[in-house]
Amino acid sequence: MPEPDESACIEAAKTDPDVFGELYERYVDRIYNYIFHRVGNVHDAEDLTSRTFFRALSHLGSYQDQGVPFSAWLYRIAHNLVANWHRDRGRHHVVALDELIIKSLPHEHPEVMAEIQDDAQQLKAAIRRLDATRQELLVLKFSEGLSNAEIGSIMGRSEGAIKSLYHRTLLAMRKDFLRKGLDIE
Amino acid sequence: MMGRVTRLLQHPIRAVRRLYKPPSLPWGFEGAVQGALRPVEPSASFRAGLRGNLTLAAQRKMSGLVVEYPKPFREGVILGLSTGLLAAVVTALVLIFRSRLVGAKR
Repeated sequence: MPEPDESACIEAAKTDPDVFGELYERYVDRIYNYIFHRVGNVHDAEDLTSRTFFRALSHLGSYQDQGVPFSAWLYRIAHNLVANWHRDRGRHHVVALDELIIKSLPHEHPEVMAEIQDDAQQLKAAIRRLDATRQELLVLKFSEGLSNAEIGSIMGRSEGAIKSLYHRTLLAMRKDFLRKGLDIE
Repeated sequence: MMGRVTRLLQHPIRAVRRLYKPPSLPWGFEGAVQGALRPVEPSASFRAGLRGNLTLAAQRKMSGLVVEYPKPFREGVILGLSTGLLAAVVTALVLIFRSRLVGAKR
């Protein structure tokens, strides 16, 4: 359910361009982050983020508070655009992980950092091998920090189904790791 | 009949559920996955540019105009036309220059 001030903000945004700007500022980072992790490069992430907000603006009049958060509505738009993008380009299972920079901690030993980076690379490869639904779930869970209920409202599934899918996804990744003789503890 | 069967099966099913323990994940694995999916932010220039475009689009929408994101084929057409025009100009200049050189030699 949108917060009271957010509901008022959404209503006001239907008639006031500046208020829509406030909504944009509130969600642009999250939407960009989600899209970036799903498409794999800055150029397409920027293009699809722009499209998401343009579409939100043009359909804002038809948006009605039906118990689903406004952010879920935006994620749905982004999700559909990303799905079209993958379909048009025939690019599946692409995640923007190669472009992520692992910031080194100043007090960590270089060997420890090298090991962490190696683990991260292996994890990125494992995530890339997942299907689109599972990739989306992990991005929403970890990169966006959403709860199972919020993810469920975006992906059109129940909270329990998300919880179960999440557990199965991590177990599958872990199994994939062990099959390749790798381990992360 | 079905209701009776369901009632009879309720206890064994509950017992199996209690006994079944899903495989647990190793400690630290979730954290490692989270570390691989670090949040990223858009550039400040992109953010400001999009905000400006949206404000403009919102103003147009309020005045009754249709809000539309520029279609990619339009960008392609503009790029194609520009490239074609540039190629034509360069070719024309080369031909003029060449014909003058040939004329001067004669």
